[in-house]
Amino acid sequence: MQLRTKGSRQPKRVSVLGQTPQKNGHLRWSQGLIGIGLVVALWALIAHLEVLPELFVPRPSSVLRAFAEVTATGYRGGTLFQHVGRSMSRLLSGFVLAALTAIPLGMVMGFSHTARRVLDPLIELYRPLPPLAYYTLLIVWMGIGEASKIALLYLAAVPPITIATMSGVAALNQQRVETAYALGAAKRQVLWHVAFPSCLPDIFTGLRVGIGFAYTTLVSSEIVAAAQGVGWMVLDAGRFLRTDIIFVGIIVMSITGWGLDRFIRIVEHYVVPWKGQG
Amino acid sequence: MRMNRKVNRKEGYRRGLFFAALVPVFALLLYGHVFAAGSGEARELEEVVIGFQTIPNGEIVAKALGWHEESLGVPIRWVQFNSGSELNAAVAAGSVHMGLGGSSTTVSAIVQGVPAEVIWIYNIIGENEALVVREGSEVEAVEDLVAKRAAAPFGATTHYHLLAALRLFDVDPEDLTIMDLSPSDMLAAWQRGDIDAGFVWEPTLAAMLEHGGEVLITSREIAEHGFLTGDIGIAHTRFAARHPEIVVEYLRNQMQAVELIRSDPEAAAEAIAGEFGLSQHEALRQMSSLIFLDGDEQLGAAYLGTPDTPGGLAEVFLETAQFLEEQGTIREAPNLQTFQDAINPSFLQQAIDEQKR
Repeated sequence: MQLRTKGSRQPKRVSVLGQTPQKNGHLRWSQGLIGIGLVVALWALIAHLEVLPELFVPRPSSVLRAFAEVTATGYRGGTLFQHVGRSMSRLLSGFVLAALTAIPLGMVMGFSHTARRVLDPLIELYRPLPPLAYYTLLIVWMGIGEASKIALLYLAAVPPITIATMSGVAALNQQRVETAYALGAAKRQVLWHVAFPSCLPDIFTGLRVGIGFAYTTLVSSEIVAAAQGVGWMVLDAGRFLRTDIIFVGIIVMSITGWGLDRFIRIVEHYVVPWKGQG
Repeated sequence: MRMNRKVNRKEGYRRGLFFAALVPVFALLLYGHVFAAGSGEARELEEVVIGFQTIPNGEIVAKALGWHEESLGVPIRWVQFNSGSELNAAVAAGSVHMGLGGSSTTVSAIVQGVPAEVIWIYNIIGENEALVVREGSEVEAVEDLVAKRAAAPFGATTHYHLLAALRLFDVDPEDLTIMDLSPSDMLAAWQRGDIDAGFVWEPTLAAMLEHGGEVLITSREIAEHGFLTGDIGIAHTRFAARHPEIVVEYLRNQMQAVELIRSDPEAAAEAIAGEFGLSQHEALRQMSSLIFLDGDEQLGAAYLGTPDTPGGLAEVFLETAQFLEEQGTIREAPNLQTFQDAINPSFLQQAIDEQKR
């Protein structure tokens, strides 16, 4: 695939699909929009031909109307922004708590063999659990308020962050550590100024996966005793077969989910600009 | 290099075309699936799928005694649902032919255009649904709920009745916290002391009463003020049109079950006890908190009515819909005609006629 050309030009990077990556970011963007555009066009077509009842596929105009409705007057006790805001505060509380505990935990597990042997099986065993399986327990322990919801999101985000941090420590370049020691650095200094920054790329990967896990748990967490939240809105609309509201909720959730991931990537870009460059 | 890129581009376009061609294929499949669903188009009906809920009524008697299996002439598949809204989704998808939903969720099914019609009333809800408060708490009347925390499963008949009770006693729903809890979660919250009141049905009702609760108001009392709720039998419209004889036979079994409940409640309770794993005594207690109507009563002016003279159930549905509209759960309550059209007493009429012959 890679043809060397004369001169000093570097071979072009070829992606797995066999297509040359576009240099122009805008072009890539517009290509991404083609897929979305196709789906929307198909949706509009199905709606226009009226081959399926509104119950199955609400018309784009109904969804727009529902969007305007929930934005302006709200859906059952809250506008769309209040619903999204409530969900985001739950999600971010759980996520920030998870980051604050899982990163140190992962570091400890990475450095201490004993800690890893003791804690790793625990994490490996609870990581694959579907959150709904233990949600009722959380409710019995912590009540039906915000605490149990945040705890559920917290528990969803912890394992990927811990594991990523741990593997970051494991992949630490020993030469770098030893050089620092040789130059007279104290243990704490090595930890803070050498080990931690070296693990940052892995930590960020963990954070992205973690917020993704927490986000997919969001709807589950709002099954019980919520009266606000975008996940609850979708569930409640489902009970009354308001498919137009369900569409609004899903579109809003996918955009916010994408936005969160994007946000972490942007932060990552500024914090670890060296990522992927050895 | 350049040539390679060109080739890649071309391949890319081909692949694009291929996927673009797949889209209408999928659309066609979906279309075919949705339209073939609900009944066996031209093919033979392989089985009848019945959706039921754990309510101690005639359907459970018929299920326990195997009446449908015996007389419908087609294998029966029983599917349990925990709420009418799940049933609605299943009927809309065409996965369930006949089933039981509460009146509130049946109203949303009709409003949202689920292809289903009302064929039977399994029971009117009486004391088996009630608003429970803590024994010895200062809540002695519905008015005292102000600033308290009350729970109900949203969308269910008890949610409707909680709001109806508040209206009856002129309490603004905004003045208290109303929480969305399923019966099992409600019990957990009740035991932890997270809620002050809950509007729920059996068997959670009995469990809450056991754990320090007392009944503030029952659904029977609220129904007497005009807010009737019931457990409604619906059938997929296309299925009912293609296999009327099965629907008629099904209703005949329902009538027979009501007859048994009335003539020999112990035997009926015994059958229900076996299905639910309850004692016969407890099954009898739960069963007798429901109000059962026989076929002739259902054809009366207060309920389904006859094919020529629509009954009062349509008005109950309309009032429920108007209520749901005020709550913002449905966009717009349709007119009375919509509900009258959705209620089809002709199968019941036929079942009665054949029985009398």
